[in-house]
Amino acid sequence: MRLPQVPGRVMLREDGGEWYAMNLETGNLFKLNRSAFDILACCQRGLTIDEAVAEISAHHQSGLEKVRPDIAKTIARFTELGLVVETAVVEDAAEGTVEGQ
Amino acid sequence: MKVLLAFPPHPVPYPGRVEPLGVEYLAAAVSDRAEVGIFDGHGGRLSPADIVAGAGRFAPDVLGVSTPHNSQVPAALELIRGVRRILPATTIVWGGNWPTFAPERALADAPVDFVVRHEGESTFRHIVGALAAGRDPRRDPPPGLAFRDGGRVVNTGAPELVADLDSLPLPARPLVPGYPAPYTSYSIIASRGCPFRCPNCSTSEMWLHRRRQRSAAAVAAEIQGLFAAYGQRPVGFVDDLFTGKRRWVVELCAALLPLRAAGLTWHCNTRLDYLDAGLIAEMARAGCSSMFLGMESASIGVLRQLGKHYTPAGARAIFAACLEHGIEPNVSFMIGLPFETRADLEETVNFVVALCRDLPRVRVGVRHLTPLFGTRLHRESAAFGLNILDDDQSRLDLLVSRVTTRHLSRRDIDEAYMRMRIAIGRKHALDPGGA
Repeated sequence: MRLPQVPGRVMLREDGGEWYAMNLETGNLFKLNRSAFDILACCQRGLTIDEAVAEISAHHQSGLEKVRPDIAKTIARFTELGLVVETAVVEDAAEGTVEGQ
Repeated sequence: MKVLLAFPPHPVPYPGRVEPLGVEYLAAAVSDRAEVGIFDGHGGRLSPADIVAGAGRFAPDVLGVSTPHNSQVPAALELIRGVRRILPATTIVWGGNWPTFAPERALADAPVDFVVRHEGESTFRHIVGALAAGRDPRRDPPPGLAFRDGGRVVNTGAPELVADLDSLPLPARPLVPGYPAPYTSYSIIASRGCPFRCPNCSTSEMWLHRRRQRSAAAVAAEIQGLFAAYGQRPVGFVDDLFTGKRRWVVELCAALLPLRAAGLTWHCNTRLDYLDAGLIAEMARAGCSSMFLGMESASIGVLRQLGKHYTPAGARAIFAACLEHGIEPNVSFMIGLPFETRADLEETVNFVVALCRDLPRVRVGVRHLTPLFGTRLHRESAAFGLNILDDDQSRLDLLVSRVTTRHLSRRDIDEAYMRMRIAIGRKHALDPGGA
């Protein structure tokens, strides 16, 4: 199963050790934590959930069993913010992974 | 004779609730000839359907619809069509940016009888006067009007502008339901127009490139009257070029001093090359608390192409002087200008990043170039090398890039915009007490 898609035009940017996403169709800017940034980048690249779990767990040196629910929570928050569409992989809501500006 | 003036709502979200000064002036211009009502869709939170229902109850002989902002046009079309359905005999008149600069399209899109172009008081008064006397305004049309005549559109050209602004009656604020509760400040016009011909601006064309000003005493008396009638509130001067005449600003500041003692604070809009440290000090003494300044670019080459005669260093000195005197500068940058190269854009991004870091109390905003009807950039877009990706004028909200240029791709523009927005956002985090 693939991760949800990033709708419209969303731009990601690392800037001064901080991570951001901007929805260019609305002008909304979001500050992300590193993990959320990487997950959104996986969505943008059209990865499957398994590919994303493997990549994120390797990158962040986290266990697969922890990463999979973290991704689901982050995707749920992204969905609320309109940064991704489709919620097939979402099981419950996340807290504190994404801050809107 | 009954006249209803309607100010359609902006789409949500639209910042601030500013009183509909244009319709208040129009109402004042005809109040000796008609019973007049005002519906403010924005401040009064009225939908087009609410305004149509209200019009049905009021049953006006003339409906005037004012849309200074193109984002109001979808709501304007909805309410005009609704009123036309239930009141087929009502004369409907439409004014504002869109109908002024695209009258043929306005007359094609909306079932209106007349379009009033540019400054509206005199032309609208003529229409109402003719109708009140039982005459058809088409028989002896004044300048500033466009209307259908059979299959063709008659456009009578630009109007004569009001020569003496002091001769105009004061805005008919008592006709606005609940005034001043819906608004955060009193809006005042102390001068109208701007002589500059910036290619990205339609306001100067709206006022036919002429700036006129009221007497300082008249402006102070209007504010004093508002304080007496409704209590003390902040004042927003909505003039396009508030400091266009230095001596007049000094006179006005002197006239405002007694009101300053009573607590007056005010905001204005002006150009950086029409300010100096001495004038800023005078304005601060008279109660100026914030100023909107369109800096647009930090590239000297781009500024010269725009006809702006300041340098980035000079601009920073002005911002610092404002802060020193307790005035908050609200500085706006624009990206996507047709003569802006990638190097120019980089200069602007670097300037914004440094400005946010070094002077965090300066309020900074960045907007995308928006080629509005009436601007040279819209009329001559091909000559400017401008590729307009989306020309839906009702959706041009300054937040989304809708052009590419000879020098800049959409990605160049988006990246620069994002970098500047990040710098502004970071400033907020660093300085929560600031902008």
